[in-house]
Amino acid sequence: MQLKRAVLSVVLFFLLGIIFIGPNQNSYHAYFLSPVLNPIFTGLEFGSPWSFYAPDPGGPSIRLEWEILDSKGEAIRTGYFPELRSPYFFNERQVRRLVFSRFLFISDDKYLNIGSSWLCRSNPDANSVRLWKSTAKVPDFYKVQTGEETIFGADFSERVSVGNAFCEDLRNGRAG
Amino acid sequence: MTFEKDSLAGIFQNIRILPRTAYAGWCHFFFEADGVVQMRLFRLLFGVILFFAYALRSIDSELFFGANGLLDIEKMFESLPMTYRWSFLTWFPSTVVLWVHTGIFLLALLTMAFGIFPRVSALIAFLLHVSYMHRNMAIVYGLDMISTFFLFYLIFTNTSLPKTKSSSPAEGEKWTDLLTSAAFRMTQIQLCVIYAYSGWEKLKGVQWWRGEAIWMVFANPQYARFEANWFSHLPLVVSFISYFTLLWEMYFPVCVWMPRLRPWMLIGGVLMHFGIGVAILIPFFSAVMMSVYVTFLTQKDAQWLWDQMIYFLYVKPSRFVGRLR
Repeated sequence: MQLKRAVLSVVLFFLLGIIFIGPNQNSYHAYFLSPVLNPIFTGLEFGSPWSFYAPDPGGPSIRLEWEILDSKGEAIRTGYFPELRSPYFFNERQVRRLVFSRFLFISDDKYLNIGSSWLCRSNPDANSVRLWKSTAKVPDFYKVQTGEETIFGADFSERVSVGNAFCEDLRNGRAG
Repeated sequence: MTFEKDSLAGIFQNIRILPRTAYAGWCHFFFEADGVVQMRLFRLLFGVILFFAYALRSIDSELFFGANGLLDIEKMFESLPMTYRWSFLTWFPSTVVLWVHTGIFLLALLTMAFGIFPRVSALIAFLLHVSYMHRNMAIVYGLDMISTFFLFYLIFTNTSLPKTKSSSPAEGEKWTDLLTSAAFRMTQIQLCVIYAYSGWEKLKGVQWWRGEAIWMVFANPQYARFEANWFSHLPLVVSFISYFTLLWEMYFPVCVWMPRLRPWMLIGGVLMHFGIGVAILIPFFSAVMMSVYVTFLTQKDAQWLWDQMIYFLYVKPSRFVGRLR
């Protein structure tokens, strides 16, 4: 009987170690134990950082923009992702699009690699894609108070070029 | 032989028996907790919430997880750390497998929620849940992360039968009772860990210190549900909610274990998550966090809540249908 408790205690002790160390993987003890813990942190997704809205919440609104170009370099169509406001009745659908766009936004390489791959696949007539990204800062508290700005009046007018990618290169495994 | 408590010999005696006392306390906490009623209620709420959340996600299954979706497998391995990560959807990247995967996952969540082979269902749901996450880590957010842990604990929770607690250790304990008790405690501890780290991380943020963090959340048009321009006329409320959130998250892990403070901590949490769920586009995350609160209810309160739910969701509709017939 006591053996069962002892065995379970060892397992629990280990599990407690995982859930306490998991969010703090940059610490020395996490580094020291990483050969044992990393497979569990990543293989079972037990290494979540638990930093909701932290250290600071959110950041600005973001937008990934693009032009689909034909072989002459003319724009066939343009687009952006995600919408500023959720176009869906169930907002859950929009949340994941926002998360995905933030994932691409933080790294130009990822946007160029993953974003252009998706655009080339979803636009079979595309010869190349040109990518930009833009942000709209969170409206200032005092300016909203005085009516100079509104919460939904986001301004995405300033955009930064990320680069071009040729669809043929992407199909052959080379990012643009 | 016993000694005066404050004498040197008494202190040494206490130190000598400390490991045994600590182990007894550990065992009492982890293996003798009777949380069957609470866990049964939690499993139902959690399972139903996850079912709806992931049924909605399934509308976009092909976009998020399909071979022609946002993230193709080759690019995923190039761009994300995939060591030790695995997914059925990576091994078998076809649309048919994706929809079978989705169907089994949703079915497992339902059977888990309603207590039909709940532990096997939880195991299947857990594995498929991780499989989804590893197919596209770029769309994973808080709801997915917290659900991983709670699905894992439900694998070990036996609530389908009344607990047969052995009266004395000599009679022998059942693995299932020990595991259920431990899973109940781990569920509670997990919630505390989430809040603790979340609160500590916020302490690093300038906006939280300045009391304007809530504005940055509510005024971000991509996350806000309503255009609450009027909120800018309530600076004290903005500061109060920001500091309340910060303090509440940091102190929850300690105060929730104190019986006198527990109801207040839970009420504070319900208010906070209800506010988040209404104001920001993450209602399912809030709902899951609140569902875990039932593990902190007393057995009596949890049973009352269970009875009420059964009455309003099953007994009353059955009577209504009977009357129609």
